[in-house]
Amino acid sequence: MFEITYEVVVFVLGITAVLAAFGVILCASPIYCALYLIGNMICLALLFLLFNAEFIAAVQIIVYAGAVMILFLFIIALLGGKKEISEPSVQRSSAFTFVILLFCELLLAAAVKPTHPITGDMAPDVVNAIGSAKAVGIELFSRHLVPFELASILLLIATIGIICLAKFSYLPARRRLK
Amino acid sequence: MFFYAWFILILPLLGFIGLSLLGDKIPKKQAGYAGCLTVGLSFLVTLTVLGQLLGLAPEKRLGHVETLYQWVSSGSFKLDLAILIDPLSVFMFLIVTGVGFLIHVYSLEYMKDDPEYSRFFAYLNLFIFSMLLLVAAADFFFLIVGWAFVGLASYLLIGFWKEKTSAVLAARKAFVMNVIGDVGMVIAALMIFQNFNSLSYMDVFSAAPDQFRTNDDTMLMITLLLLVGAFAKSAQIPLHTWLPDAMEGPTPVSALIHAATMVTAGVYLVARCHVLYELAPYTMYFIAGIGAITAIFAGTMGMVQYDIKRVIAYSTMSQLGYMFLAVGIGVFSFGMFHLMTHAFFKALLFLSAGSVIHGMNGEQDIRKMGGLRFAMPLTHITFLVGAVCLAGVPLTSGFFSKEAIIMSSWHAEMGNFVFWGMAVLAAGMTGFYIFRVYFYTFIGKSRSPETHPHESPFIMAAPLLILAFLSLVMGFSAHWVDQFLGPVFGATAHHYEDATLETIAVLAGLGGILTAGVVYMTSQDKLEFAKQALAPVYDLLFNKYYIDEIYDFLIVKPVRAIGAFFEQKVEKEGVDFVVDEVGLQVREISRGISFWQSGNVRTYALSMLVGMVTILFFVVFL
Amino acid sequence: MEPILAPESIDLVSIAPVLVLTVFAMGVMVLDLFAGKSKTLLAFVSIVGLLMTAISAFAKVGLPVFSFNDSYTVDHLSVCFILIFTLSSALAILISIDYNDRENIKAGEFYSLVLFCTVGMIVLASSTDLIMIFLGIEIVSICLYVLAGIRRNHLKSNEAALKYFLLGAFATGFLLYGMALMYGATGTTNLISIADLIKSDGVKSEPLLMIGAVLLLIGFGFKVASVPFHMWAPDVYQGAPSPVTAFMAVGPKAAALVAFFRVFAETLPEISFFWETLLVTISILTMFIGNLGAIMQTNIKRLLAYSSVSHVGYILMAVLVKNTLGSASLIFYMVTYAFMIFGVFAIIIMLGRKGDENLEIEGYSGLGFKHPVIALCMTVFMLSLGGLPPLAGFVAKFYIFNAALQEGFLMLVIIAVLNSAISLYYYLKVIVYMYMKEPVREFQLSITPITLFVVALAIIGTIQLGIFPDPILSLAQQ
Repeated sequence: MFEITYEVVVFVLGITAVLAAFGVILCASPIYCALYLIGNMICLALLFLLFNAEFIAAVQIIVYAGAVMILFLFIIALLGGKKEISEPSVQRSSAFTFVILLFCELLLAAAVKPTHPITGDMAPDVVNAIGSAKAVGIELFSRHLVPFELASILLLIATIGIICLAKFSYLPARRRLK
Repeated sequence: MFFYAWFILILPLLGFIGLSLLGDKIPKKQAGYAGCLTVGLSFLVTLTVLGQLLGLAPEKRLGHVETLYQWVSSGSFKLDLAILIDPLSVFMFLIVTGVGFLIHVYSLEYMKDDPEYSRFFAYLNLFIFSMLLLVAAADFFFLIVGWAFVGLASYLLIGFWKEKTSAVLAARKAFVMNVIGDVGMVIAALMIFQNFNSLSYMDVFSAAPDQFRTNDDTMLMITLLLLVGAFAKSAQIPLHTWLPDAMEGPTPVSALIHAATMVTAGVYLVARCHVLYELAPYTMYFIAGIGAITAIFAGTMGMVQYDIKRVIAYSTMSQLGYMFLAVGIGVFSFGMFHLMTHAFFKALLFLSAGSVIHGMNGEQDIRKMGGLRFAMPLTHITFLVGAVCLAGVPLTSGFFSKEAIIMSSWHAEMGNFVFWGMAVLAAGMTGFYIFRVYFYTFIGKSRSPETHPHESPFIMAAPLLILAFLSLVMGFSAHWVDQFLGPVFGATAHHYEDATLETIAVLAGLGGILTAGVVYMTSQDKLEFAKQALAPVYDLLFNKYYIDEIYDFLIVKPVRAIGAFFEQKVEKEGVDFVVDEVGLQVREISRGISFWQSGNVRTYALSMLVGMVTILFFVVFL
Repeated sequence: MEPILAPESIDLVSIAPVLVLTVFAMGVMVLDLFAGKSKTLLAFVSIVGLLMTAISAFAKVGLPVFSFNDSYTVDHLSVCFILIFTLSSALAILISIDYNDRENIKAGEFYSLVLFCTVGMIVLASSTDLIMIFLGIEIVSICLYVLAGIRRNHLKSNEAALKYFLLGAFATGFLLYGMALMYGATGTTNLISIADLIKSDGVKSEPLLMIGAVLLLIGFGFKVASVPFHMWAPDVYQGAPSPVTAFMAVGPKAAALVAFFRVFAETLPEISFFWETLLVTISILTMFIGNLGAIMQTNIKRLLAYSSVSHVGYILMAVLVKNTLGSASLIFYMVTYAFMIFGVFAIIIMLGRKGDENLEIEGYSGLGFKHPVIALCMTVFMLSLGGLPPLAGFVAKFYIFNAALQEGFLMLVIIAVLNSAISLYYYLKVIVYMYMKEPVREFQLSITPITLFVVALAIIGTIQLGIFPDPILSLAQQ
């Protein structure tokens, strides 16, 4: 009985996440988009929780749904998110057609067989013994040491880039015209 | 053993590099001399090589591959920078450097008023180098390299007078045609490489007879693809349209490239690859057929042209047709012999024509010439020599070489009545069109009295005299050439003696000359009659128009109808149309691609999406 | 508990190039504080850094070496490519010194971004792990987005950066999704394990693996600008500052191609039946679209953008060849391509001046008479790009075609040869303009010793590799 409930919950959460993602790209108002994104992230967090990854779930909620999305919302509010006026165009409709086609193709192809079981050092009992956060930490700082450091470089570059593009005395085009 | 033969190639290359880098720094005269000197020295080296080669026993003269260094080696595949010294390549060296040197000397005077004198000589040297590379190559690879470079040099030289739009267009056309040929050759080379795992002549030719049956599909494919290149370079139907247009270039260029050397490269190629062609008799028939058709086709066109250089250009096509006929029926050494005599007398004709044009201050229309035999006695003689050789008057060089081909086209194993008939018909036309030019230009009275033609200076006359001498006497070397080239082709060609056929062929040539004479003389009579009947005021008018009318009515109309048909239907609407259309379509596609490039990010993203869906579709469903 | 990462696989020497270059990249940023107005010093420090990186590439002997649980590889391919990257980045920095002065690009970050980008390329070329490949690609891409838009007051530059960013993000999505699916299908992100798993028929869901591979193909296809994912290239190449364009056309593209090679030719040769046909089609389309698109271009940078698209078409043949011959031809092609492209762009930069970049091909009319030496150099580069012997471009093409031919791709090679012939048309167009047209404008060249040095180096490289290719070829073949 429990088994079935578990599967159903996972499935429902997954579907909800996908629907929320559709909401993000289909909504006309930026505020709603952001809210849908939060919904999507919460669904993901719940999925992580169901897979016994409490730490990741917490990070997902705190960092993404919390910090990042709140920032997004602030920015949208600051810029005055206006509703996008959408007029039906050939491009738009063809884009939708192709997205749906793509989706179908992926479903068709992927639905054939199950995925490969993942074996690793972090078996459920190990994780239970040392705790989810520690397990993530061990993985991150040993097996994925180089990628982890590279990710830090990546973030550094992104920061430099933004500063580089925004720092100098730069007058917007409108004011320069005067 | 023949390592020093590299100097034959290196000297003109040095000339090209030196002249193109320092051309502006050194005085004009010296630049010209330097250009001549390199080719002259190259000719001397060739003579030395020839001497050494003749010192060897005939069977030892083959296959001297001189490697400079190994260029590329990757796994099993090696590419040497090497040249091949054997009778065939030395024979070609002699023609290229010998005739090339004479034309260089001639150009010293002909181009002396051109502001870009040194550039001209740089290009000429480049051409000589490329042509030598083409014939010296020891593998298909350098053959193609030389092939492409010759095309490039030809492009540069045709378009030398870049302010002349027609010249630039002609250059472009020649280039496009040549590139078509190059692509054919490259594909052939790729197929050769795939089948023999080597590009070297030695390897390929020794392996081919064991590896392939006669008329094997692959062999047919390879030989036909090589032919695309050969036909494009040698202006055979249907890749011929660039040659008449190429006459827009300076006359020495026409003489050197578009008569004596470059256009014969196709014949050389077939002769060089005779092993492959002998394995593909179907292709040989095809070559012979196209050669014969071109000979006649170009002959008809030549009969109706008024531009002196165009007539000679069509005659070149026609004579190349003969050479292809010869190699097509398997008498390779006759083809090469005709190549040689043709190089002499056609260069002579072109240079004489150049002398005429020079003397007439750039006039090329034969209707505006006439009576030049008094003003330019020397040129008159040399042109006449060239004309009799071309027409195949007995005992001239053209007679020997052409007769040999015509005889073989009947008697040789692959010869037949049709080839023979076409060859004889073309011979008749040859006599007609070249003497038509001769009569128009040198006989009668001047049709444009306001110009004062003058004889060319000695430096232009000297090459003419040498070439005239060679054209007259080299016919007697027929047997020697056959012996010399024999080892390359496995056996000497058989000389067929058949008095009847020979007489018919000679009569055809003489008949052509006679017809031209009769037509011309008749009009002279009419002219006299008209002169008496009408007031002298109209003299000039008749002189200008009436002759043409009569001429037109009596002879030209029917011939012209055929010629015009060819020109209109085949050239303009056929080949040219196809070439233009391809160019046009390419541009249209290009524009279409640019149109898609709208600059709109959404369009780009959409195209990526479409691409992805398509790719996934293939993976999922196929 | 057992340590997850075996201590012996923590091998800092193996990642020495990455470490050295990262240190220099950060050092340049710090130095920027003290450098004052002129940034030339930074440029030279960066070049020293690149030099050190190149040297440190040889730190490991006894190749191949696998470190960090087989996620990082030092092998012949990666060492050769590290050299190519450092060379191309150094050349890019050299040609940008004067350009930056002229165009008023005062950002010292320029140089450190170039160095970081090179770090990304090195990672990309050496990693045998999907996560590392992804990080490498992202490091490279983000640097390029910023570099493309570094002329902030220049509308075209902004447009280029934005377009590149949006489309790049789109492509990254595919890439990541593909990697996720591959992970799902095999349970590992390590390429070596994936290859083993495929060899031992251990893959549970082949369709999943294939879809993953296809999505990866699309992601890489975007990064190397192959059709139909090439649309960004002309706009971005045109809008980005010229040194950045040259940089983009060589280094990052080469890096993406190595990763492409590693994933497809080295990891997935067992299932090549499905991606081979795809790649052949893509390669052919890329050649045709690139060449046909270039014919009508009037802007030299757009022309080169299309030409670089077509070159990708040829290079993809190396991936199809799969064996060491393929990797050798890939290495050789990229070396020669680097010389040619930097030579051309150095000349393009020379021909421009402040506020007037002179990018229309028409503006090159008559260059052959006014400045014969520069025109001659340009001619050499154009002919080499078109693949005429005896220049380097020819040997490179020949080598790659030869490799493909030995693997039996006759039709593909024939089409490639045909395309080379088409490409001559537009390369010669530039030459025709230089030598056969009357000048339409004044030439005010900004010739500086450094740019001249780059041109000279590129000329020597182009001719040397054309006439004596053997040393480099045998090096690439080892």
